[in-house]
Amino acid sequence: MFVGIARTTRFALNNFRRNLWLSFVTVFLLILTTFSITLVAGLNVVGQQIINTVQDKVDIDLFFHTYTNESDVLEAQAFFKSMKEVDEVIYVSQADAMERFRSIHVDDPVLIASLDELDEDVLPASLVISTNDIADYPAIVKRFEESAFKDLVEEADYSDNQVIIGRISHTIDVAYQVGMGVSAIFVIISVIVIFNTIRMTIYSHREEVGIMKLVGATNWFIRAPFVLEGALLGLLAALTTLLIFYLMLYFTDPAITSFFQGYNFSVFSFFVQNGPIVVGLEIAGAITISVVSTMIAITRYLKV
Amino acid sequence: MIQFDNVSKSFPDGTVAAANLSFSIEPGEFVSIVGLSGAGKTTIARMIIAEEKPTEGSIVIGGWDISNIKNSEIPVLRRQIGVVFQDFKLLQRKTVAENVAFALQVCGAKKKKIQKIVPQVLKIVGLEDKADRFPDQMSGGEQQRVVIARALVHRPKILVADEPTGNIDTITAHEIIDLLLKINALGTTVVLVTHNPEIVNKIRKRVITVDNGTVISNRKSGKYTL
Repeated sequence: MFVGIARTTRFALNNFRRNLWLSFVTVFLLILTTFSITLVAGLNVVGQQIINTVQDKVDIDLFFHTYTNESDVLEAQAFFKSMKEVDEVIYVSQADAMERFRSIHVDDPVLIASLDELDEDVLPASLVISTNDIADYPAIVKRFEESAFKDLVEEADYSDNQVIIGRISHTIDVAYQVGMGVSAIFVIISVIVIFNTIRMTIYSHREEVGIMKLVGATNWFIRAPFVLEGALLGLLAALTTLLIFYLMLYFTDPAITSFFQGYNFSVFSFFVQNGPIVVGLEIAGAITISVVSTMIAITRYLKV
Repeated sequence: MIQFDNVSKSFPDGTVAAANLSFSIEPGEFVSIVGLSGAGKTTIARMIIAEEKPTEGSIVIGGWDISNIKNSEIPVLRRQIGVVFQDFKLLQRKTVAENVAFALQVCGAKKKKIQKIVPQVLKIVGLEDKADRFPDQMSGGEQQRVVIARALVHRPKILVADEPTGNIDTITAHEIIDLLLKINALGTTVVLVTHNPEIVNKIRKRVITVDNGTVISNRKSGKYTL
């Protein structure tokens, strides 16, 4: 068994070497395919990260009239908590709001001094409502507006964060779809090119194949070098793409990180953290495309 | 050893290459299958090595009915039957020794075994001194010897030679036939397909004459009668 594997591998390497230029062109096209697929997948991941980060920052802030009783605010908190769409409702009392304000402006003695002159209840109590899914916000807002608590609220901040997220999401969706379309075209081109490469290899080895059949080589031994050659093309393309992506992300990471300043997000770190999955998927994907294409060529042209 | 029972073979285009062929070949025999071009001789050779399957009838080799042999079983059969063709089928980029070794390599033989067998078979065919030459540095007769050496590496019980003298001159052809007789003398059943009357008449072994896909004569010590 080991002898068979070693020999078919050697034959595959010889096949690759004999048609060196053709092999390089095939690998180059496969790189374009894997690169475009990886780019689309990467874009999707980055987009999802952006949406998640922005979503985490989105909530509904309800500022109550300063004269509202605390018991009414707590009742409103219970009202929102009872909604299944709501994840968390944080109650910020007037005292908490004042304390937070003071801590933020601790370096501004004039402002703090003027605050001391004012009534303690100058800042309103508020509820900070967050949900599991951003799509639930409209329903929550609607129920709030229909409730009796609406009159207790002086100001409600459910600004158009959702619109922004919707736009980001839409842009990413469009980019994803266009990217997938381009990738699909590259996949088709790659399959055709690999098919042709293996077909030419089979043609240039027709004498050897004929002799192999005559002297009793098994079908798998005759097919294996071609399948391995296909897998080798895929592996080389995947490794090259990974190297290009690594270098690309490494050098562009500072720019991307500064663009998302405050969001604690680094594409490079994301890919490094998910390294084994990325490498595994890249290699598996490239080899699958290559081997499937090879198998089609073998079935069509290598009669054993 | 080889049993053809009412074997017929027709092709999709309607050509009938064999019609109700029945004959048997015993172990250790040297049998010449003769006939004019298109008589069906090569089809018989191809059916013995399962390159073609009969449309009707049965072919039994060494007790194994190969009439409907599965594709996965063909390599097992081929390792028991050596094959020699008129057009040599040698790899030009490999030396004599490499060409012979190739037959063992692709069947998974270990290096030690290959190193042992290759010189042995080259000695049998008288090419032990030319192991490192390439096919294009050799005469037609020598190339055919290489093919015979390659056919012997699996120590086959049967050797099928389809027009082995077709591409070589008369003197060399006789040398090749002498070699086949020597191999037969060592116990291998030899099936020689030829349309060369001179050779058939010289060796005076069993002759099966085929015409239009049927056996028209089957003689123990025959001559070329067409």
